[in-house]
Amino acid sequence: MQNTDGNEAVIPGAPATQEDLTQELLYDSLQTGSRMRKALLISGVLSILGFVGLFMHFASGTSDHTTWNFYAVVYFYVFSVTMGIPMAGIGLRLARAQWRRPTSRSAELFAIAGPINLIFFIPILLVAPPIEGRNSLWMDWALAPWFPDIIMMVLLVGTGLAFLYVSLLPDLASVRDHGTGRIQSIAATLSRDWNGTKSQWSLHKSALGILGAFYITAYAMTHLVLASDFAMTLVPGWKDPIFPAFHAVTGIQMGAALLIITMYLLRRLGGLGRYFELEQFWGYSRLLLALSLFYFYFWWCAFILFWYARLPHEQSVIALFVSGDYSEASVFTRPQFLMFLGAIGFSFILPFLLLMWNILRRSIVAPTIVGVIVLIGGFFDRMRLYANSWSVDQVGGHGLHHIPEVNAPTIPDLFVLIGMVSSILFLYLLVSRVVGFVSLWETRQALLLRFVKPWGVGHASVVIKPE
Amino acid sequence: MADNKDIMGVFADVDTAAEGARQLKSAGFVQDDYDVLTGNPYPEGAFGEHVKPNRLFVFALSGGFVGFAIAFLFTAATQTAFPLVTGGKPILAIPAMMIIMYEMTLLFAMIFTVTGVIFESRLPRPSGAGPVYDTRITLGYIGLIVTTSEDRLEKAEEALKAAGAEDIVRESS
Repeated sequence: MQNTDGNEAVIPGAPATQEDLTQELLYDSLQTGSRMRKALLISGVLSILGFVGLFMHFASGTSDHTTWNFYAVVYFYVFSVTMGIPMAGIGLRLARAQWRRPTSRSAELFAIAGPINLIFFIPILLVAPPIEGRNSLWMDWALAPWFPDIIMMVLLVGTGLAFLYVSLLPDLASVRDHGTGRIQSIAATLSRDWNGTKSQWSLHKSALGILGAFYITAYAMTHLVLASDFAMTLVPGWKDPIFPAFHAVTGIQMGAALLIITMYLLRRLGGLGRYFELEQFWGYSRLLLALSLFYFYFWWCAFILFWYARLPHEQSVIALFVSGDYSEASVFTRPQFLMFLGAIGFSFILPFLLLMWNILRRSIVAPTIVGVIVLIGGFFDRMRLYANSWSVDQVGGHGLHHIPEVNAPTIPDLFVLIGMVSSILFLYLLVSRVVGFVSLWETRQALLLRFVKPWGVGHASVVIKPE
Repeated sequence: MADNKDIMGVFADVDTAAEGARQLKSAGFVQDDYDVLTGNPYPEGAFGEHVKPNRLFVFALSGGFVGFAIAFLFTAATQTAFPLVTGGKPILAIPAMMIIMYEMTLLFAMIFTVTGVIFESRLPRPSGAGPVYDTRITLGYIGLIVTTSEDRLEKAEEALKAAGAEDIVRESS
């Protein structure tokens, strides 16, 4: 693409003009082909499984929270991944990273998972043991934990949806002006009188900054509250101020991993390869490497305190989450140790050993493979944390009396996993039919602000930073 | 003013739109007389237009204050209504109230911010009809919209055409 001054636009293979870009992102990519219809149909049908699994769980009773341990694993895994992925988009947007522009929409669109997370959170609140006797944040406050936890979840989900709505407004106006049928009327209702005046753009920029900052602060605090109420305080003697930070960071790590996989799928199956180029994969693989290092850093900081202290209740915590029951001779027959091995192996060791090489970071396939590895590691990690802490039937006290057996996952747990993932995929694909996977207004702006200029005997990429 | 009318020049690119703004100034129009409609954000002042600072932060701050006040009163009221001494801490224990206050402050700040975006962006416009509009704006065209008295509309149209406007859109009477 040649700009008005003869410089070449940087987005590789991007359409030559703004009209062509609009044509591709507004008309072509919003077409619902047979593959998309099938994906919508399958994910929509499979969504029902989640509610079937939930019903089966309720039918088997709510009095014993230890039988819900894998429900907690599934819930907090899906919650961590899907609420962490918008963080990757929002954080880079606030940092004004130019390369992330084509990827922001696909990251922020995951905020649509919020209502699903909210629905499946209700059983967690109902089943978890009451806070009496637990060393909770709430000092036996009568309304805790349901009141502050619901407010926290509503805040996070609401802020995510509000941020998504504001970021979608200009593209909804484009669909309102040029779309057809039901999609056009939905876009017209949502975009109302967005005309793109200077004052509207000024507000839009401010709102994205304010709501983005709110999402980040709500995200951190939600992880503090949930990790404390539904993991840490279930285990007598587990007092770890680093754990909520670890929980939040691993959520962002899994979110970044899912974003890379999403980009790869959109590139291969969605025909959007020109928007998800090497530059984007390279950028996110560096972020993923940093987050994998953070995984180890936070885990180690917490572990070393417990390990050095050697107090009996702290050794019990190490046994529950790392080494397994010391009474068993071989560590490889201890489920807790195998979970830990899977978590640290897939969340830190393998990603680190692979992503430390620039040649792998600077590719499309390797970061995607590492993304899959990190998601597997994340599941092991949430299993390590929640399957074990929800297996503890002793509420209160200064330390664990014994290391509990871990209840195995059941068919309803599998149904809930499939159902939650499918319902989020269904909503994600459904909303993408109205606004697409790539932000039109941001990509347009990127075309205006980035050029390749002759530089010596070669060329240099020039990014205009207008603010 | 009530008897003012809108007229808009539709431009294909930034340079001609900026030239349009220059022509308008030469024709005696001031910055407050015209606005720019675009499909994506441009740097402030790129067309020589005047952008008033927005007041969104006032909404966020007000919401935050309201949320904080509600949370403070609510937690204080419940703690004094059901006085339980826990761990030798005071009945009104601020650290235990802080998370609720944090949550409610952010929640109300978020709600007020979204309200602010809708209100300040005029989404929807309470008076009904908005300014003149052309759907090509969302295809990447740039609209230069002049709001002026009826007797100056011809002058505005001349300036817009002289700068190379592809089309002129007038407000229907």
